[in-house]
Order: sequence, then C-alpha cells, then structure tokens
Amino acid sequence: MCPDAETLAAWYDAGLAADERAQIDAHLSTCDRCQATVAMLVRTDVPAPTPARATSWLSWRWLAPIAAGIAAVAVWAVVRPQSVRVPGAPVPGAIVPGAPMTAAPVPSAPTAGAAATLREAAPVRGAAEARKAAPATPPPAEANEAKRADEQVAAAASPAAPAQPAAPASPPAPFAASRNAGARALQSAADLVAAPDISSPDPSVRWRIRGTAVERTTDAGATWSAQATGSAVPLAAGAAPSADVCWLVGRNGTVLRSVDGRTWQVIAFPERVDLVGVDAASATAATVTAADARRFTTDDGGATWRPGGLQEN
Amino acid sequence: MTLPQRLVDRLYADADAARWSLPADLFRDALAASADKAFAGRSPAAPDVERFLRGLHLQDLALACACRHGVDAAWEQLMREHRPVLYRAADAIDPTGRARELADALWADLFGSLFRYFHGRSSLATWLRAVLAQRHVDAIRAAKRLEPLPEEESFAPAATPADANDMKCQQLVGRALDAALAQLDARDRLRLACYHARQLTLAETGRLLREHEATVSRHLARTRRTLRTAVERWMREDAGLPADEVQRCLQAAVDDPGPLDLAAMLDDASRKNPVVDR
Repeated sequence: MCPDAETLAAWYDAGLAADERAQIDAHLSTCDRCQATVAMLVRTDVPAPTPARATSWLSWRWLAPIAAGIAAVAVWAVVRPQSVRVPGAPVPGAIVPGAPMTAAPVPSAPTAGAAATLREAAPVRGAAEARKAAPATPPPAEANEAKRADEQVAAAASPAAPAQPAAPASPPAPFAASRNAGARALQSAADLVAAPDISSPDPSVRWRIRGTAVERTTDAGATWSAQATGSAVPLAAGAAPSADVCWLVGRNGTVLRSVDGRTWQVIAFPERVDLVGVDAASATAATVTAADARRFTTDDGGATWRPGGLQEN
Repeated sequence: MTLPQRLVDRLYADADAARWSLPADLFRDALAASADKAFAGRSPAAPDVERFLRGLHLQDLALACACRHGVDAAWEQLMREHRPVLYRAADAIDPTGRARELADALWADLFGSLFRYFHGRSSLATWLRAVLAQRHVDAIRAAKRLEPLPEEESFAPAATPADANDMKCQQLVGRALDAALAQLDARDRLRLACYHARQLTLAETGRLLREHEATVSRHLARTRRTLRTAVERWMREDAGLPADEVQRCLQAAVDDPGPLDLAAMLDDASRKNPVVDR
C-alpha cells in the first residue's frame, strides 16, 4: 500500500527511522505513483526568490564606515606612538572606507561537498535538524551533468509575467504525463542496455554510440553534438586514445576513425564480419575484435591488417 | 501514548507554542499522535520516544496545531509564510497556472481537518508540497485512465519479417531487463527510476536520495554495467542465444526500443494490474 503524503514528506526530510526509511525506499523502487510524487516533490523544492537589495546613493549605510574611519583616525591621532610613518603605508588599525567591516570572513553558501557531508554524516534525526537549519538550496551543477532537455524547454516556454518575482536559475520542468515523457521512458530502457560512453584521456571529451549515430561531448557530458559518420551501419564499440582520435566498429566489417574529433573516415577492413570491440593506442594503431572472437591489428591506420592483437607482435 | 509532563513542557517551550497561546494539552495531544503514528504497533522505550519527539519540526507542529484549533494569529503566520510556498510549488508543477486550482483546493482543505494529518516529521512546507504533489499525480493518473485509446493503434500495419525479428529482440531484451531489474537492490532501483524513468537530474536525484550527485553518477554507471552484464548473461544462458546474436539483439533494441517502458518495468503495480493503472 502506498504511504501517505505525510510519510513521503517525512522520508524527503529525513524524518523517518532507518528501518522505516528502508521500507519506503523499497516501496518507492517499485511504485510508479509514489515515484512520480517524490519526483514532483524535489522539482517543487524551489527556494524563495531573494528580494533585490535596495541600494541608494543617498542611503546612510555607506557613510557608516567612513564615519567610523574618521573617528578611528581621530582617536589614533590622539594616542599615536612617536614613530615616523612611511607615506602611503596603511595606517595600523585604521579602517579603509569601502573595506569590509567584519574581521571574520563572510560566510559563503554551503558548497556541494559541505552540504553532502552534512547530509551523509548526520544520523536520521540529526539530518532533520540539518534540513531545518540549512535552506534547501540545490548543490551547484557539476560540469559532468547533462541538463535535461525538458528543463531547458520549460525554461524557454515559461511565460514572462511582470508581477511575478524573479524566477529561480533553473526552473524545474512541469510534470509531464504526455506521450513525450513516455517516449523518453522507452529510450531510457534502451539506454540501459546501450554501449557505455567512449572515454578519452581528457575527462571532458567522450563519444557515445546511439545505434547508427555518434555523438561527442567536450564538456564532460553536459551537452552532446551529433556527428556525421557517413555510415548507416549499426555501431557496436569504440576507443579513443586521445581527445581528437576515436575508432568505431560495427556490423559487416565497419571501421570508422576520426583524427580531428569531428570528421570521420571509413577504414577498409578485409572481412565482412560483425566487429564487436576495439582497442586503440593511437591514430594509426588499433586492434578490433570480431563477433567470433578473432582479432585483427593495424599499425598503419588501417591500410593493412594482420591477425592478432597489438601486444602479440 | 502517555508522555511525561516534564518532556511535554520542554518541547512546548522549544516549539515556542506559547506564541500562539496554544493550550498545553492540545500540543501534548499532537505530540502523542505523532509518536503513535511513528511507533504504531510497537512498545518503544522512553528514551526512544524522547529522541523521536526532539527530532520533530516542533515549531511547525505548534503552528499547525494552532491553525487546526482556529488561532487567528497562527493563520496569519501560515498565510505569510506558507501560502507562497504552496503557490510556488504549483507554478513549478505547471507554469501556465493550471496547478493553482489544486493549490487553492488544498488551501481550502486546511481550513477543514487536513492539519490533523501533519505530525511534524517533516517541515510544514515539505508536507504541503507532498500533499499537492500526490494530489496532482493522482489527478493525472485518473485522467489517463479515462483517456480513449489512440486511434492509430487500431490501424497498425502488419509486421514485416524484419519487424518480426526486431520485435522478438525487443521481447527478449525486455524479459532480460525485467529479470535484471528484479535482482537490483531497492536503492539502486530507486536511483535508476529517479534518473532514467522520472528524468530527474543528478542533482535532484541526489537530493531525494541524500547523496552527492557525483555519488549518484558513480552508482548509476555501476548499475548500468551490472544490468548490461545481467542482460547479456540472461540472453546467453536463459534464452540460449550465441554471443553475436546477443549483441545483434541488444543493438536492435537500442535502435528501436519498441514497447520497452522502463517506468512500467519499475512499477510492480502496473505489471500486476496492467489495465487498472495504465
């Protein structure tokens, strides 16, 4: 049976005991209705807009440091030690107008790491206090997170209303029960069994195969660009020995290579066998594996191939 | 549940319940109701009860209790602090304003007896958003059940032999994925559901699961590898396919997932009652 909204809210705010939380985790992992509810719960966790600070040239506030500085200099002038002051050197103890008044550093917003440590280290009950103490600000976006396309669409589609307060930086997407959401769920199932991303030595550069198509990212997966390979054959695997070099293999002896990260060349292969794997050391040296486990190696960028692996010769 | 008076007095002070001139016995009843729900069917030790009660959102509980018993000042505070939360949530659900009707209805229900369901285990803001979210989800699910079937389904062209092979691959991959998903532990399934089926970002998934988004990313990658290995093994051992056919089938499913629906796979109810819930 589905938990009520109060229990889901308690789960969200870490207000459940460990055993009850585990029970809710187990239920959530198999319940579409409750998954949709908690997904909406996190998407509606929108912080209140911070009102713009009114800064007026005529505000008295900015005079306070100057007034204090004048007073401090006046006091210093009365009690100053008998020493020669170097012109231009800062007056010890004087307050410079415009400088921060507080001696302690201004507390910054909690970093993702600090917030995460706070959440992960606190026990169940203490975590409730942590949520009460800290505002629910989302952790800063990591460079390797792909922003959901629907969030960008929602942000672009949101109507501008002059009476509304300033929108948050990344407005959550409206709950989509449309067919579009269904199509994404279908693609998600396929994505689970799709070949993993092809990493290069540069952590921000990867490729990925999507059936017959190839995409590349140069910002660690935040955005992906489709690349034209000139081939309509399903691809199976790839290897990227550098950020600009990538080898791809697929059905019927298909071998593709890019040496500039953008354009692709078809590399001739002696047999029309399905190729399922590739290891590459450089733009010229690579070993491919066929579906029947045979291996073929090239040292000249695919001009010639010989049986065996890179290390066997 | 009977609570020691000294504990109630301390919690009353912590909750600043005197601000609303809330009678102490009403606040005690609210505390007892919260403990009864949390420890239902059990006989907890006194220190456990005290620890639980101290972990409640006491000020929110006092505010809700005061509103429930008609304290005007409490209602004014609720309007000032929480009504904007509710409408921000409604606008986040639907920027065109359609969710505001639900928010209005929820607000009206607060004047009734809805507050008796709030027990302070979460903040009042989270509880309001959870009620709104659940009502919105239920409204959408109810509307889906009433939708007529799309017409194009009755005019689907007959499958070609190539389609038949792909359909067979989709079925095999679907069964393999089903079996693999059933082997995952609850947290891995939930993380997968949040990210892949619900399309939450890594950050949102991390907030739900109380994990750093880098941790979420690492676990998702591990789970995907586990699933792929399990799917390949199922197709080799249970379906008896040779290695190259396994790869071909997987690629066919990637090219065209067909009816594969991850959300449905992760929803036990839809598999047990396919007509009722979908």
